[in-house]
Amino acid sequence: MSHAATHDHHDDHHGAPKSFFQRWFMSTNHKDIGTLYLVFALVMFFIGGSFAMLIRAELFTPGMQLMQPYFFNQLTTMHALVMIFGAIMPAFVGLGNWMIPLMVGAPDMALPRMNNLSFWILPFAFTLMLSTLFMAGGGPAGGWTMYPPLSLQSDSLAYVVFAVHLMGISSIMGAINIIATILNMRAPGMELLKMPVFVWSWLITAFLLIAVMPVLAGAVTMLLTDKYFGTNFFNPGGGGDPVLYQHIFWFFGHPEVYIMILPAFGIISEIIPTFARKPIFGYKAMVFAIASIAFLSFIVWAHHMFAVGLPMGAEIFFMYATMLIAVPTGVKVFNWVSTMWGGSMTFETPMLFAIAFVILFTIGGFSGLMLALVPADFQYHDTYFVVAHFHYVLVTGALFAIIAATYYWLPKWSGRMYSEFWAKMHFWNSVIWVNVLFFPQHFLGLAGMPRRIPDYNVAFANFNMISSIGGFLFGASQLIFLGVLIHGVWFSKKKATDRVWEGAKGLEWTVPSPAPHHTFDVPPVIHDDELAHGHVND
Amino acid sequence: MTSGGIRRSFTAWAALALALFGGVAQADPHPYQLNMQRGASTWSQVPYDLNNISLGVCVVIGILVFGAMFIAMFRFRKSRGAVAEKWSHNTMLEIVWTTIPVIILIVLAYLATGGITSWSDTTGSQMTVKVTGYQWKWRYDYVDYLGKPISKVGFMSKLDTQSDQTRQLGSGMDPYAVKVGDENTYLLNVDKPLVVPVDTKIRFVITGADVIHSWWVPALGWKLDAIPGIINAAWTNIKEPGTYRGQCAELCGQDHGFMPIVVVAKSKPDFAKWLAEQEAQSAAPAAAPAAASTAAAPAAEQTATAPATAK
Amino acid sequence: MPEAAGRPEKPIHMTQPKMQHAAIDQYDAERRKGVRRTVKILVVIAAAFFLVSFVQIVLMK
Repeated sequence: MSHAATHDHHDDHHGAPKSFFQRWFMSTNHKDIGTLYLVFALVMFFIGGSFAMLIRAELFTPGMQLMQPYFFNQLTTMHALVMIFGAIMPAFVGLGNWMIPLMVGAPDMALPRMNNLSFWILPFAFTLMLSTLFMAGGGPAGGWTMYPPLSLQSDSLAYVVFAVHLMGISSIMGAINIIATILNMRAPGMELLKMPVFVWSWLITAFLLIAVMPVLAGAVTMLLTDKYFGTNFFNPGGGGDPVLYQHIFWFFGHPEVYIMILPAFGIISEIIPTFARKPIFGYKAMVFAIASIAFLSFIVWAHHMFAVGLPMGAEIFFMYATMLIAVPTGVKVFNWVSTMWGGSMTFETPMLFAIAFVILFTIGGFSGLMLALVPADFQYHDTYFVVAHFHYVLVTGALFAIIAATYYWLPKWSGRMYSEFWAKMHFWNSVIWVNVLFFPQHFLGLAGMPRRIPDYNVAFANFNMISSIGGFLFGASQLIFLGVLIHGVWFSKKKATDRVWEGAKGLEWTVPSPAPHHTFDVPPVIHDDELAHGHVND
Repeated sequence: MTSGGIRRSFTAWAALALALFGGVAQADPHPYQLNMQRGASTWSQVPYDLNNISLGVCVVIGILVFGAMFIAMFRFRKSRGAVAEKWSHNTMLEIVWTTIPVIILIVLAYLATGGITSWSDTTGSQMTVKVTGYQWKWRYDYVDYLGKPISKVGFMSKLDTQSDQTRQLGSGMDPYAVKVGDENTYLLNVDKPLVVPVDTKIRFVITGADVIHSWWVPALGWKLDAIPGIINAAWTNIKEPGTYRGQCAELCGQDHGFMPIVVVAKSKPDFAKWLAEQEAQSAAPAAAPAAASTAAAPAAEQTATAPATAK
Repeated sequence: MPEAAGRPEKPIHMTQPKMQHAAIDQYDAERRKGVRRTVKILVVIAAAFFLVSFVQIVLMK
């Protein structure tokens, strides 16, 4: 194809299609697909959040008040599946879709039609999975980890397995697209070591996705054949091994945990330099830390299984490998603090969420270090201490980063400034109530309350009630978020400038606000001064 | 900073804990319990100490890092006229904050490795009990004691009737009313507890009958999964007579929250007497109805014979 | 800003200067080839990991 034809073709499409159906259902535009992902994630966030509200309501006082234990188990299972696969992961894919082409100076993703497909699989996958809640046998109730033999007792297994297959295909296609974009679509002069840390974090995350989603697919396929086709992969009666499933699952599961946090590291590494008005401390160290965390994530999976009775040598190996992760993670935290040191800081909402992230994620990291110590884990394992730990890293970690990114880039997406006052209301409410919600859960776990139980001894009553109150108010605070978003997208009178934030650097801020339907049709000429990380010499 | 910091923070923490709970002989769990229990076995001190030491390390690092961050947030505000500096690199600092965590981790890893080694050594046990997890109850079979095989002493252990009635949806019964003596035992009591002697190295062989369960008594310091098709082994040596309560710790279906574990530790003579009674009962099949009625008797009777408070 | 001759003036949606048109043709072709190669490699990796999860059975039994 001659270049004239190529570019005339692009020139015909400077505006978005007028028809609603064409624009949103048949879109191949990275910005529109990014928006779809983000809206989908927001919807799933509220659905998964409503499950959490029901869980906390049942746990408000001792005794069963609201539901049968089996339904409680369905709620905990669905809460996890919806939040992990429906909210956190699609939100990061949405952010990647929107921002990666803008950040590397590409006109779109490398494979725009596949991009459309990988989004539109998701609503079907989740309809399939959520529909099981309305079926006679109920939804999956064996925990999101789907450990056999328990998960094989569930009538909805086939639906969940099929839904997981769909999500997996969607994630793999999304990951292929992101890697192909980053490796091939960068504007000339955007060298790998000048890319934003967010792009780096997504590049590494996408490799994790490609490596582990197929493993999950394999694991759940074996569950399916065990239940319906008479195989005995995990059935001890037929010579199978239930622990083998756990090995395969966590070989997926632990990198999955980092899939949900590495892009968050990237986001925070963009936001803090912007509002500190100082280049990020140790750019190469940051990138290297992400890469080494990703590598280590493949050799620590059995730390989820310290209580299954592994051989002593295995427990020691996995404990050492797990503890090693504290080093690159510590480097990241120290680098963020050093980025702030000597800066000229202002505290707009994205920065507030980023600072909360650094503190609260680090607390989650501390409890992670404690959990790595095998003898102590014999006590912590499967208690509320673990629940507190992973909610600190996933809610105040991943989710806070997503919210920070939303406030950071929303003016670029909508062309309007959100209400700073209400955004700060959202921040302070979130940050206070999330701690009231999750901090007491550490105490519950240490005192001996197992996780995934619908009822408990009265000794656990006080902290459970405090935690539930925090939960309800944290849930309610997210309605402020919804309000700020609706106002900031459609109603705000305050126009955003192109640069939006005084200290913002990078290609995404050189396009107008709102970002036009097509950007960088013709590759930009890169000036290193324009880039957030253009002058790396460390 | 490392060892001194650890010791200082550990001392500070211990002082705080003593102020909060010192001298109170309370059974665990108790309301507003903030920390892990010390436990009652010879090994349970290991996770307790590791927990406190690692918590202390984390608190010290946390104070340093968050302290630096808050100082930065106050000193380097634009509203105070701070002008951004240009540096983004400091090799010395980076080496320091990579090396210090490595040293701390090596210390922690050393302590933890010792703990695993002692936990894994199930040799030299004087007694063996087989534990089997069922949906949703436990089975205990006494295999041998002081080198002699025990035949036909084994029983099911499930949630006590009072808790079971109270926990039904819409029962209208008060969980706070479920008590043995002064202790609230809602969901933490069974019809027939596991009875074991003190000062005896007891080997548990643990397995599951249907799905995966996990046998956990916090006072013993560990939990271990009960997996169908696999036999796991662990040991304990309880120091004090008492009643120790725990729960299933691996999601095992709808009544996962309702299959508690109660271990009653008796002095060696008391245990020998108890064991003889059990053997006599199982030896005389005619006495089976009597045994059944003992088993069905309120758990209060079972536990009342044991000292009222744990430790 | 230099634009290719004879090309209709369109609104420029960037404050950033653009690349010269002469260089774009080759850049586009390389990009397409690169994407194809990357996708091929990645699909092979994904398929390999899927199969490896089954092979674990053989390795561990």
